[in-house]
Amino acid sequence: MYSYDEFDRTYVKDRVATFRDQVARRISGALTEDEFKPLRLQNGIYLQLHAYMLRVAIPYGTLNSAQMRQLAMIAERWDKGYGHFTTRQNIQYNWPKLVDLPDILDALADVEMHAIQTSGNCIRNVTADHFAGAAKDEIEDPRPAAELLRQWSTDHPEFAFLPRKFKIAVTGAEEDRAVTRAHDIGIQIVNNEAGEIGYKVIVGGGLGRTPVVGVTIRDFLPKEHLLAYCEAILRVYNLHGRRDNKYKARIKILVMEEGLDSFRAQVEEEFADLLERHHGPSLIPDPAVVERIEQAFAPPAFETLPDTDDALDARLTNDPAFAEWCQVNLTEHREPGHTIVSISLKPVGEAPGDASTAQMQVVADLAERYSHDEVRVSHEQNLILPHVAKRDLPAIYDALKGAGLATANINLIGDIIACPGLDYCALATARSIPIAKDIAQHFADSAYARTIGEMKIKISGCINSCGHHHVGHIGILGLDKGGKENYQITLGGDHTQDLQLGQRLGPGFDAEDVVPAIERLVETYLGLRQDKDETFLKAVKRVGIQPFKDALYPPKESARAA
Amino acid sequence: MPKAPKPQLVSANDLLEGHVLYLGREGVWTTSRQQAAVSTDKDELDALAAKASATRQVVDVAHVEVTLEDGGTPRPVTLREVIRDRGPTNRPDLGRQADPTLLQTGSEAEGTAHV
Repeated sequence: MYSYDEFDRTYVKDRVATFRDQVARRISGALTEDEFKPLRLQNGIYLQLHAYMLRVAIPYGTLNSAQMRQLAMIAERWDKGYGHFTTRQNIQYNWPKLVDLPDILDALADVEMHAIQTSGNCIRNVTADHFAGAAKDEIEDPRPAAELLRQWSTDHPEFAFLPRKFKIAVTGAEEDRAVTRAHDIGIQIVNNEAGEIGYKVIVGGGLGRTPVVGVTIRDFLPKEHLLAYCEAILRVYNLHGRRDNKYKARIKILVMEEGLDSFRAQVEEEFADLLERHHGPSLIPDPAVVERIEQAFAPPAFETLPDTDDALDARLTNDPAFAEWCQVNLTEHREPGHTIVSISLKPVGEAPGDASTAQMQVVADLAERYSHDEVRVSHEQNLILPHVAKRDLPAIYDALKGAGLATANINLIGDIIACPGLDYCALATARSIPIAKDIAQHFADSAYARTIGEMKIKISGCINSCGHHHVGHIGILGLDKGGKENYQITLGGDHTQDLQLGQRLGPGFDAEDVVPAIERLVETYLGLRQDKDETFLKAVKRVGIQPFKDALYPPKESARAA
Repeated sequence: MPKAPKPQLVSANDLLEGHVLYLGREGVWTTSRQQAAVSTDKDELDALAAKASATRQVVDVAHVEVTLEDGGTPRPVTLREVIRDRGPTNRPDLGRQADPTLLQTGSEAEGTAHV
């Protein structure tokens, strides 16, 4: 884990003190709302439907147990006893009072956390693979690069007022679990032909109202040039990104309008200029700084363990529910005798991504005791214990079960991404959470869910796509149609390294018709798949969307809809 | 032929706590929707809101289209404003709906699950 140095600590505390003064001046009337609003947004504070909302940054989705306990404490003391983990690996509180927010930010600073750059047209919290440092398919832990980017981008004076918000994600593994191709910049750690480790740089991806698959702007970038190259990309974007139209202001539009070759040429020219003529040395990180960061993410002292455990095997034999949870919620770890535990925040009946104070405390305790003091937040709105000895699985499962956190549905149909939607969000056009709950309830039979196999349903309550519906195997987009909620369904999206946007199947559905529609899609899949190994996504890629379209819109209905 | 103006009320969020408020008939901000001033005259409501601004600090002032129930209680028309008035539909324990003193009588007590 990265720890603040004295500079970081002072900087964050000073920001809190400044904001405390700004809140006081707003309350006294010395600041108008027009003056205050950009200041609160710079501290991650929005005004939503029912109340203020605070978005807290969780850099690269990594927390220690003390931080998780503090998040739980904040939820209990100043909010409504829960927090909402988001698709950008952050946590949001839905009910804070303005007068309490300086104290909340102070409490965050006490555990080296903040809400800086979680809003506004700046470089947002850098995200990463939630299995970083643990995944077996990893070339290198992506978090030192993400931390370097965080330090470079925090309070960067040149990039405080970009044309639009800017999101960076980093992955160090072959399998892209960080959705890098849907980010403004995606960084993938790769080996070149000489066996050196460097970065593939992807640019211009994004979801939202204009979904675009990111394109590779550099196949291999030497590690020491990461900041200079990103600075070059940001400079070109900052100069030429459109400021005349909010909906065309993201870098993806610039890259599309310019063309990749032209955009790349400008970036390379700026990059060369930065390195060779002007401020180059300041953008080559001090090796001592890099060393300190890398040490902070050095692997924990893993025990040497056999890959099997007799007590675990006995429990697996005697406890089918435990065995099912292990089968579904564990991922192979790089170290023998260890595993990665995914804790589903998608129990049937609950909002995806919500965790109560008590649940956060349980996860913190488990992380401290069994996972080298680490927790991760995934973009899929689950929590991860990244470094667990297999022999500890029964104890962990029992504790999770007691806290309502032992749902065995990771990567299955109940493991749904859903944005807060119209139940909370001022931008939303339809509700997301009730749709997710209805689907999870309908497919609550775990045997049926396992028969269906891997399935990624992603739901957004508006065109802004916080619920990643464009890259869902089944994507659901909630809209307002004549004052009534209406849900469009897309098929065949893929969030991985083969990122693909889903295709819309046809006219939208009323809320009560969404579950039957999903059921028809599932039945169609089960009827046409070649075998159990052909997942839903593979089947869609093989046969195309037509059979699914026919299932949702039989010819008679199609004629009427037309 | 121009459409007849629809009844509206004025809503906002409390500066300090963030919760939903309505502009009352007496020209003060209130948590009670029953006491909200309703008019088809936008200018009249704006004038009332200007007077109320001295009594309580609010943010995000907006006009909200309503229908009037039999007893004269204004009810928001759009789902967005219904949810904003009551609270998240997935959590009946949260928001204004969790406070019985803020709940309405009659049909509105049924909740928003099927709005």
